[in-house]
Amino acid sequence: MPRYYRHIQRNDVVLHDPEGVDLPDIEAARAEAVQGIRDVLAEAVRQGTDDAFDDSIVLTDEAGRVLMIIPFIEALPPRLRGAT
Amino acid sequence: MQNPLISKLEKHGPLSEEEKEVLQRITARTAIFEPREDIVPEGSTPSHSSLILSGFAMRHNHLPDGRRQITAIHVPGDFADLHSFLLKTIDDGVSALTACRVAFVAHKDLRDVTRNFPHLTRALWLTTLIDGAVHRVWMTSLGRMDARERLAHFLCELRDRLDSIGLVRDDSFELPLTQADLSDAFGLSTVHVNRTLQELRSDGLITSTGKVLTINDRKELRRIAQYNPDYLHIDQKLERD
Repeated sequence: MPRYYRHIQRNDVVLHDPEGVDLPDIEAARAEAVQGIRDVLAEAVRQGTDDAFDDSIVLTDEAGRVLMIIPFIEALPPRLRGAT
Repeated sequence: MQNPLISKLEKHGPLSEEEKEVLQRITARTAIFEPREDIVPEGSTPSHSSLILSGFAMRHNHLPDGRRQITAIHVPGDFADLHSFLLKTIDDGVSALTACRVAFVAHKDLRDVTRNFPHLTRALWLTTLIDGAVHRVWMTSLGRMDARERLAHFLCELRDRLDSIGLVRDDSFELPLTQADLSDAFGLSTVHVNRTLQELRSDGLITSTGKVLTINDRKELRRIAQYNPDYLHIDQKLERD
């Protein structure tokens, strides 16, 4: 299985994913990243903060090629996206 | 190297030469398990209890739909399934995280120990009570802590457990769990696990090189986790008759 890395871009800072996860294909990697974002945002909501809402996941392959950028906000259900 | 079960039990007070010989004898039959290999398969009915001599193992439950919860990490000196001696059928599973050397302690030998060695029997009982205490603290962590607190708490706990068996040097120790393992142990997504670890790193609390983790600011990590190691009862002395 290919390995995918989910770096987190926050303004100018990148929180690296040094390890990555093995998943069957890019669709699975995207779905896994979206679930991950929802988990992070759920905790932010519980804590009453919105500082993670501008972050993005930069999904790369093993060679470091950027496959996809997923803004955190895109992982929200549609009616919540306009809230920021 | 000293038998890790003897080292662990002697934390709770000295053992007699005869008791140590018995422990050596009943842990003599060993096998090697590769990473991710089952040590105690889910639902099995073993005729022996498995003792971790070296390496790390994980205990897990699977839901019928495949989702996994890791319920404990086992380190050298820990029994994976001392309780299979009495429970017979294992209701969860234990598999290797790293390569593990495991001793198979025959249930008939445990029966002899409980018949003839009351102090050893109580010492083994004590280890299962401490395993239970760790489960209760994990439950509290899963129910009440946020991601940062949970991971900080686990790192504090693992450091102290490994330190008690001599596997910590300058607050550095092996952390063989992947993001996916930590995710399944602490009810977090892998993205959340990585983000939280990276934040602990960028706050200067931890660093890691490969599978080796270093705690740089133990006091602050303990403060974040509201960590108190009393539940590990590491030096709890056991009275002799």
